Amino acid sequence: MQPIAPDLVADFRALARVALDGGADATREAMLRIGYFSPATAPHHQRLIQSMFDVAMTPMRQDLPFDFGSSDLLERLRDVCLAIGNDRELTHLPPAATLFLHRKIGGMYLMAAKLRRRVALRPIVEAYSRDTLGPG
Amino acid sequence: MVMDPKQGASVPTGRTSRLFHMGSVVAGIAGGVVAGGLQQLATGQRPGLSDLLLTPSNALRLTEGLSHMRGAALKLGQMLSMDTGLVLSPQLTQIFASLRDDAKQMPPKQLQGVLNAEWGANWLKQFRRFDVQPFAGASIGQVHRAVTLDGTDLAIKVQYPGVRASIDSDVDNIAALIRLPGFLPRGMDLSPLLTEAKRQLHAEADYLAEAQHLAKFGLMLAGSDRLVLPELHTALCTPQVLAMSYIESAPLDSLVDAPQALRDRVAAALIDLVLRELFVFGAMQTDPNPANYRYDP
Repeated sequence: MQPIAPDLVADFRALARVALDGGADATREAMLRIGYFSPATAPHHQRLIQSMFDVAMTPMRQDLPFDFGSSDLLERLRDVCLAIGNDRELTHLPPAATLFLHRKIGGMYLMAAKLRRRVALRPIVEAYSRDTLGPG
Repeated sequence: MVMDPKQGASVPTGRTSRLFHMGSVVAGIAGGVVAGGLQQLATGQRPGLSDLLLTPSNALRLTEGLSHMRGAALKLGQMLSMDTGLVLSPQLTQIFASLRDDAKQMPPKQLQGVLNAEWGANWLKQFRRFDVQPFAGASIGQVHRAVTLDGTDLAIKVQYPGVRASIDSDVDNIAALIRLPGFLPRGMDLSPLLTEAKRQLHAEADYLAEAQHLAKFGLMLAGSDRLVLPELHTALCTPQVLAMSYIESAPLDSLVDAPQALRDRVAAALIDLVLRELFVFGAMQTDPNPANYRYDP
């Protein structure tokens, strides 16, 4: 179990909000703030990392239930990840304190795919990103 | 009779025995790279380094070496998302999967030594039943089922001896492996990640702190009608032993052919939990290995 610093929680909440409705610029701002890339990261690398985030957020950007069972989301995610991982020029690592979170979310995607789950993620994420106490 | 190769080998406790082991793994892989590379060059092929590192024999050597430092290897694998199959080649993903699933077990004598030290020599008298054979592995320990004299059914997690003393050197040794050419881009600074890995491992090796986290999570989830957490059995908890209630349950995999509505409900509960951990609790259980989540019909 790892504590998450309150500042980081606030940054992730902002990121969740732009994931739902933000444009490319707002998303870039929020990602920069957390440290997914730095201002020194080459623009095409920034775009590559941002495109990975966009792919990962696909299930949240539709109101209809997302069908994890029949989607190619994981394959597309793997393709972008491999493109990032294989780029020998890209040496930026996101902050260590964020790494477990990606893995946890990745793990949940794998679980949802395995259970061939259909779910409307948008309302759930909306509730948690707006209201500091979550739903209920 | 079939011999189980996992049986019998003590978990190595000495820093030097681990160091020696890792040193030979790194050297072995580096040697394999040179030999394999020469061979391919001789036949006119120009191999990529990452191809060389992941020959089947190297993969095997890697798995064997890492299993002796399972905790640190799993942690770094987790941090680099090496283990989910999202980022890495199927071969490396396989290595981490086998690391996760094939923990070496402490032989009964070693287990008894740990429990004698933690609970005192007469501990067995407190139990009606104590299964010497663990029913599950943890990254730095193993889990036993036991029933106390008053009939309480317990799951008891026992930490491998020597884990704490070797965390830092284990992480450094594995870093030496990851830094072999071909794994990571040149110029990538791993040090913040290594520092964080060590910090997390030290925190997780303190089972009394883990016990506090479990109690805290238990309180936060007390109102949930979908999620159950084991209860702490404080009297038997020590820095190296975590005692909690045993809950009968099935692996999540058993739900693969369940009705869609049930699969949706279980997955929704877990997704909701992740969001609650992040945005409400401000604390997260960091290992989404499916073995950590089970289904209670």
